[in-house]
Amino acid sequence: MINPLLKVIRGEVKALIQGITGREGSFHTKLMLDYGTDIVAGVTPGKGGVKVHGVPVYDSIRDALKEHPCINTSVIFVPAKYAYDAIRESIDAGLELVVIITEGIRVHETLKLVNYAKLKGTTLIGPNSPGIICPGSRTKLGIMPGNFFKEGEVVLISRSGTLTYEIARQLSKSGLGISLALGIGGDPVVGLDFLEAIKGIEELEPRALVLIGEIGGSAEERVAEYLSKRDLGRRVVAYLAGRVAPAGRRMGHAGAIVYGRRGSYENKVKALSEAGVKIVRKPWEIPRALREILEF
Amino acid sequence: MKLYEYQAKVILKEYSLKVPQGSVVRDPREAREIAKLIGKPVYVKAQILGISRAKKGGIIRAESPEEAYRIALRLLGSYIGGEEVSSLLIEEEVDYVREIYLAFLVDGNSKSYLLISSPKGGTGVEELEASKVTNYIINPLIGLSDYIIRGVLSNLGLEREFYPILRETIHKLYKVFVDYDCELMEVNPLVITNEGELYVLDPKMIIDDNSLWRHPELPLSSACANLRERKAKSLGLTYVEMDGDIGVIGNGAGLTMSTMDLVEEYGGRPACFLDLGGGVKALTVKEAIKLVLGRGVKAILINVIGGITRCDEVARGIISALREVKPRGVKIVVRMLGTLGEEGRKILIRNGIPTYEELEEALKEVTSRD
Repeated sequence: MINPLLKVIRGEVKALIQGITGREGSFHTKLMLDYGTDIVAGVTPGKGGVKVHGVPVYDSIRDALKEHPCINTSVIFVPAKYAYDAIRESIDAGLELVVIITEGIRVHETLKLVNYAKLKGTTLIGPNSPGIICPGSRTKLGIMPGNFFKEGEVVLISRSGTLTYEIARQLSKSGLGISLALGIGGDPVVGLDFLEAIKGIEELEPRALVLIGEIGGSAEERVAEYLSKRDLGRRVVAYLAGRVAPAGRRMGHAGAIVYGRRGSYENKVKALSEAGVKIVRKPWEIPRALREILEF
Repeated sequence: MKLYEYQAKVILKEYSLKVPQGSVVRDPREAREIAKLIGKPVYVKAQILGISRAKKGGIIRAESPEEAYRIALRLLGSYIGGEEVSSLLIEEEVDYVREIYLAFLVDGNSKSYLLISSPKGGTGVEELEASKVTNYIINPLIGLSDYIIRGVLSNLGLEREFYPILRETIHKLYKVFVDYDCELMEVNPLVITNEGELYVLDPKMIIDDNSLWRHPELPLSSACANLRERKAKSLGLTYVEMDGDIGVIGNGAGLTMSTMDLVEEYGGRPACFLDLGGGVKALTVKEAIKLVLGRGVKAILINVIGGITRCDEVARGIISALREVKPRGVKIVVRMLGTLGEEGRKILIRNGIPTYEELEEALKEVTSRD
């Protein structure tokens, strides 16, 4: 199977918007179309037959596929209470890439969806993701402000939304561009995680990569462990948010047993540094660190 | 949302799991009455959400109803780890021969449920050598398998006569974990009495916030330690208090945390973290600012990058909060850009609020000593 991220870069995405008639869905469909994204259909159960910004709407993915067999991607704007059903529909339809913008999906539902998607070979991004953007192919599958992202060769992978916009803007301001920016989503359980995203990006042989992490969990540590055995580590700049945030021990004893000391700012910085990753303390220090990598 | 011990025990009882006989009280005289009814030594347990309660003096044994009264009198209204004690659980003392540890949790790494077990429970279980603790991954599509339970039973190292009741207990705990959308369902310790009965002495339940609408019977307000945190939660905001003097407000957890870090880089000390989330309305922004002003701060830095959030809404919220409260001697600095950023900045500047597009400038302004 072709890496779905590669399809985004090559401009081979044929997108379906689930929840297209809702407030957010309709608003962002317009922005994605304006950006240049190839949106061929929308789905809202019970609203089949109407058009949203010129995009034909169907009652089901099955109906949409009959008219547009080329659809390979779905972007989910369906409200949290109904998202579980909508995402299952997209996985059952055999779509390759499903980007979940919806915030507030129950974590037990996400767990089931993520495991089901893995079985069926669907790549899930999110939930609670700002989406994916590729300025080169004019493809935006999400809600990020498109004008913050200039075309270039840096890949950006992030756990957070607005902080990604901040850093994309810093890059643009200093004349650096982005080939692909991917928000993996802010929930405790997500489909494509940091490590899988890095592995997917590695196939694309990026010249430089920015990792935007946060305290908590152990995703950054697992990335560090992987990078420590690869050359890619020296092509990565990381910025981590939460250095002064009070340490939370929400998971109590269980958290300490499973995660130990992983999760703290210091531990993440140590692990990533040892893997050759350059850590910066301010977002506006990222461009200079990237230049050192790009000119190397 | 984390439940208080007594709330979790009510749920466990509904699933016919055994918990010590007892009752929750808010008055020392009630504590004496309950202890009298129980008719044997009791434990007086402060109902707080923080950890290491026992070490901090929040769990005390009482020989008599009079002693229970005196302990309750001392504990009620006191603070443990910054949390006010407003209720106590008075419980019978249970004699036991063994304490063990069991927990189900949602694990983002394996993207599955985990079942953790340890043959030794009680405090300090996390310091146990790793070889004594077993972790099993449970695929959420398949659920609990019998081989996993057999593995746990053998790890716990108990006599075979306890297997049926343990097996039943594990199944029941798993059912609570799934039915209540728990991020964590921990029992530490689960004890075995002389009579061969299993009692949950201390359960810890954390329920996924995204599923609270499915459990309307759970009182949302009771489970936040601090009044302002409670208020924030009811507004749909995330608020964490710290001990500095510059309030930090942002949209998105990552951006807000990053802003706090930078305030410190520039020599300031953050007083709080307040995440407005996405698509916030003016009215909520107004309440958010009033909340931070109520905390007592020297300055507030508001950092908003509009995506789904509209900057003009945020600007209107800021103005109406300041018109209502008219804070004296509090410096308000705003950094704003993105969706309708220019409109938002115009509104603020017209009202004399220092507003910037560049975060560096806003940071210098908010941390300057004039």
